[in-house]
Amino acid sequence: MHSTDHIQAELAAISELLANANSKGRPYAVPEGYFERLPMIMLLKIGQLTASDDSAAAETESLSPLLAGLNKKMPFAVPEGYFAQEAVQPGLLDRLEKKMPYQVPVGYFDGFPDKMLATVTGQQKGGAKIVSFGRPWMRYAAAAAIVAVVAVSGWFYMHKTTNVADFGKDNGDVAAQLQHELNQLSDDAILEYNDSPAADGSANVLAANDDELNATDIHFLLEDVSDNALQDFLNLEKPGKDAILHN
Amino acid sequence: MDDAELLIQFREPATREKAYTALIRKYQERLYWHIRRMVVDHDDSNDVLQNVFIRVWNGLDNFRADAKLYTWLYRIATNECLTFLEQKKKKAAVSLSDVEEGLSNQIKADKDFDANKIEWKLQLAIQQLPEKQRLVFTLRYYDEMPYEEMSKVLDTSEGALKASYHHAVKKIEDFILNH
Repeated sequence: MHSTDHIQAELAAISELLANANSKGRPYAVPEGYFERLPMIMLLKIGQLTASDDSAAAETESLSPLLAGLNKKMPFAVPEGYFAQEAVQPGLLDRLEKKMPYQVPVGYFDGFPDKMLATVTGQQKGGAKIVSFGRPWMRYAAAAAIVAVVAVSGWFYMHKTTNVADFGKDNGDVAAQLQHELNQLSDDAILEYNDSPAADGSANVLAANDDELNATDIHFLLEDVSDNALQDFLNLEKPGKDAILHN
Repeated sequence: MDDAELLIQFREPATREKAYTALIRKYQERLYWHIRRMVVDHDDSNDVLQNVFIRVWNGLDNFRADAKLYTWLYRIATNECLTFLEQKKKKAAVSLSDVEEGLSNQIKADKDFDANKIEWKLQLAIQQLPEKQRLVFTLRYYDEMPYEEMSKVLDTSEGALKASYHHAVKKIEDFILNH
């Protein structure tokens, strides 16, 4: 079977009306000589595109004569002397008529290379002090001591009804020991612990708990809950609606 | 000093700083304006520009000489601009459109702003564009960067860049005609 016969049979199986109708003629008109001229038109277009790739101005002109005709001078003002240096050609932007309208502080570019050099060499020559313990076990010791302090403080808080005098009698030696250990720690060790991920972690949890839910969060949380389920929940909770909204 | 000479001198410890200074002098203005068109404010532009040159200092040793230096610099500057705008968006906890509105307001707040002047209208029109289109438009319109180079800077095909520029030009034209 020829493929056209196959297609015709398929069409007939789907729609006899279409298969029997003489609908494959071309109802649209094509301008006279269009197909004869098309190869030449395409060659011209390709040539134009290739040429315009090297000339942004020509491309802009072809896309929008209005935009191409605009003065490219930027309305932003530049502080006096900002570009004043030998390496810069002052007339370059003017010649291109693409001067920005923005202002730049006076002398900004004059001193900029030296500032950058000072910044990067300062970085390299130890401008920033890096504090290091050198021995990893000290970090763990500092962390353990801090955890111990937190644990004891927590115990104090939970048992704050305990008589202070009794506590002192029973736990004074422990507290004194901890205090002694803490005194032995350097400030750097304590600061190091505070900057450690372990300390950050607990702070982040607290911060996260303090954050209020915004509309996006609520949308995200309720994404998988059906409208019916939500409606049922609201019906159940109607008396306490305000409380829900405020909590 | 041409780029090849700059690179040679930068790799020599004795001439490293001299080469770095020369590189900044050579490219600071072009990069500054590229950045400023994106972030509008001078102080923000200055911060971004400094980040760019810090990255240059840290990364120039690893720069492959088979690419053009200015393409590499523009790529760093573009990434820094996008990072800055992203951070700004996060800090403000607003949508990108709000940031763009903020940039338009910054333009209007400029002491030299004149709504009747076409060059200012053009700046406002540019800020209406999505970030990527804004980059394409400014690189093409102001920097007259060939698509081949732009393709390396923005990591996008030349065809997509041409289409993007076309859309950008039409949008800007509409904005100018209707404002």
